[in-house]
Amino acid sequence: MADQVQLHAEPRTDLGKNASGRLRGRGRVPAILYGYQVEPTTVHVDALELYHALHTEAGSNALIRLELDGDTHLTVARDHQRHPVKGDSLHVDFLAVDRDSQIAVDIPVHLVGEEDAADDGGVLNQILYTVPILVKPLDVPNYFDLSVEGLEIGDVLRVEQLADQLPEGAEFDIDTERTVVTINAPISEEELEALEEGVDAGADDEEPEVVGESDGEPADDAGSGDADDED
Amino acid sequence: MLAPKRVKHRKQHRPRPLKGLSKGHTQVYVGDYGLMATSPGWITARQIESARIAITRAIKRGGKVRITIFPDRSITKKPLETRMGSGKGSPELWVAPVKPGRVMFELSGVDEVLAREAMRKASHKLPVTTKFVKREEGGE
Repeated sequence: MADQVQLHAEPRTDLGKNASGRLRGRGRVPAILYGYQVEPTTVHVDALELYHALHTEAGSNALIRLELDGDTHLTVARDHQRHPVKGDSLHVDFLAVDRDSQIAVDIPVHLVGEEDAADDGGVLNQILYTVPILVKPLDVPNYFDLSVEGLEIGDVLRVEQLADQLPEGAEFDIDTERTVVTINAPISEEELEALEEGVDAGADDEEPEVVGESDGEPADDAGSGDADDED
Repeated sequence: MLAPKRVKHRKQHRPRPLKGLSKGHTQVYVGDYGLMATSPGWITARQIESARIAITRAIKRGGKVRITIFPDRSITKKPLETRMGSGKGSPELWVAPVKPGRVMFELSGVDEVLAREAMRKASHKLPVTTKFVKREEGGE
C-alpha cells in the first residue's frame, strides 16, 4: 500500500516564469492541481515539504492529501520537473484521483539476493526497472520484490513472475512476456583485452561517406567551397 | 573511435558557444550509475574513447558500459603556417557538444564503490567538470 502524506498548498495568482522564479526564490514550488472533480487550479507548495512527500518508501507513487482552501484532495504527483544539475523541484502536477477508479502507475522492481545471483560468473542485467500497472489509488504497492538468488547464465525472469504480488483487481499495463532480468555470460579474456586496448588512433583518419557524392554528384557544400577559393 | 558513417555535408558551421542546460538525457535511464557533466564543453571522439577505456579497465569483466553521447559535429582546422583565406580548412575531429546536466556514460552490473572509482577515472579524461549520479527510485 502506498504511503499517504499530507501537503499544504496555497493558491497562486501570479503566473508566468518571472512570478514562478520569485516563488522558487522563497523556497516554494509552483504547481498545478487538476483531475477528478476539480477545476485546474494553479497552486504553490513548500519545496522541503514536497521533497519529503516524494521521498517516502513509496517514492513518486506516494498518495498526497493536498490541502487547499480548507478542502482536501487525494492526489498523486505527475510530471515532476527538476533542475538538471541541482535536482531542485521546478514544477509539479498534482493529479486528483478517484479512490474507486484505476490509475496508471510505474512500480519499481527491487532485486532480492543480488549478491547470491549468478555464482557461475554471469553478469546480472536488469532490463526493466519499473513495471507499469493499473490499480486503484489506495492499493498501489510501494515496490515489487524479485528474487534473483541462484540464477545461472542464460536464465530470464519475466513480468509474469511478479503476478503473485499484484494487488487484487490490479492488472499489468505491459506485455507480461517482457523480460525484467537476464543473466548474461561474462565477456571472454580476448574480448576484454580488445575493449581495453581501444581503437587505433589512426582509425579516425577515414572520412565518412558524404550523401550524394558516391553517385558522382558533388555535395552542396563542395560547390560553395570552390566559390570561396576564387575570392 | 566514434564517428558518423554517413554525413550530408563534409564541413559544418562552427558550433556556437554552449549556453543553458541540457534538455535531454539528464537522468540515468538504462544503467544503475552515470557520469553527468556539470559544465559545458565539446567532448572529442578521442576523449570519449579514452574515458570508455578507463571505465572498462576499472570494472574488468563485471558490468556493462553505455556511452550516451555521440560525436556528430565535425570541426575543421587549417594547416599550420597557412595564410588566412583560401576556403575552409579540412575536417580534423568529431566532437559531441555537451551541456550541464547531460549524463554521458552509464554503468550497470557493478557495485557502487567500483562504479564511483570507474567514473572518477573516466572524469579525468574529459574536458568538463562532472558528478557521479545514481538511478533514482521510481522515476524520482
